[in-house]
Amino acid sequence: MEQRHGIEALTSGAMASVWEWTKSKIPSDLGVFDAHAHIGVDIDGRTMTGEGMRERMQAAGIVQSIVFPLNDPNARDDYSGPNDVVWSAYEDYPDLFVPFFRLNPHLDYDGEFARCIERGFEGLKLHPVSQEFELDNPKVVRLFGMAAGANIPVLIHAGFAMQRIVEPLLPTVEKHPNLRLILGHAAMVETLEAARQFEGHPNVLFETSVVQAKDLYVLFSSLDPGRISYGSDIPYGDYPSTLHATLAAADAAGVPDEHIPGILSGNIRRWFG
Amino acid sequence: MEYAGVQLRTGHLLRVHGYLNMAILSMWMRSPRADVLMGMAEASARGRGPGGSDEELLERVRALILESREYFAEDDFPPAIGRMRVAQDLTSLGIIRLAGE
Repeated sequence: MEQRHGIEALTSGAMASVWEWTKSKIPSDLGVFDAHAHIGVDIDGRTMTGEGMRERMQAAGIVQSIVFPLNDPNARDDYSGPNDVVWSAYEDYPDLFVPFFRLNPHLDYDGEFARCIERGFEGLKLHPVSQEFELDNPKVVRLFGMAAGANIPVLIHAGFAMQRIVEPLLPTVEKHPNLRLILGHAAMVETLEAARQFEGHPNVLFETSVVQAKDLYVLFSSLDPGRISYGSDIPYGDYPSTLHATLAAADAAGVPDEHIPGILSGNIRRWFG
Repeated sequence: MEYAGVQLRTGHLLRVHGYLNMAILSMWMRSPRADVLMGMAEASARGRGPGGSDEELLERVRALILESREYFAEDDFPPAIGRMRVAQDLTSLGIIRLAGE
């Protein structure tokens, strides 16, 4: 089911003042870049279409989103079906979406990796919880190397239900300094340690979707804001509440306003021309 | 504000934050008791806060929880969870600001 996400329901009543404050923090000439959103179907019943994303983006003033499949119940072994759904949405709205493909590292992924690179996908999404793997699994480490070789970024789910992030990932980051990594959900359970360990690795970005403001406060207080990028995690998050969490945490941490355009757009947009 | 006052204000906001956390997790997990836990969060913020200095924050949190329960009762999850997340974020950042007083 694709539930009501109308901007009215998300910004009316007690949310009105929250949304007004949030909008006041976004420079009027800035097009916000969403670094984390889904298109497709999930085993938990949530869905999102390209058209649904377009409506939500336009209503909230978002100009571009990275999109990739959910944990699709109809995924063939190689994830090609859900990847095709994302590609179709991208073809419908090429100016709105930056398409990432998704793989299951346990399975034979070479063919789908090559097909997606050839097709023009701009990044890879990996979900260690949904696909039940550790970040230092040899098949995953090999995949990181392939992404580095293909010069595409990898967005890793580093949020809810994760138990090991920094220690298994650090050797890969050190081995492939040019590999661009996006830590989805800001490595929230280890955010302070992640900020410390990855501080010297400028190609590692921390993405903020559905992270609690107190975690983001610690992140903004511990890391160069040039390494932090906004995300929504639609359909699990929404634009008003996730933008508020990011901007309120940055404000509480004393991040100067001059860094807001980077956090909301430039820090990651530069990766995609 | 004397130090003991800050401690009491912090303790009260920590209470509210804790009940919000339980309610939010129950909503995500689709627990059959989610409405009960949302009610506990609403109850935790009920009445005037200690010292009064956080009353504006608590007013906003109460309104967000109340509206969230209404949307949740209508099975409209996105505006319900969004309001609870904002209520929790406002509360946690309020606690952090208190730590600096």
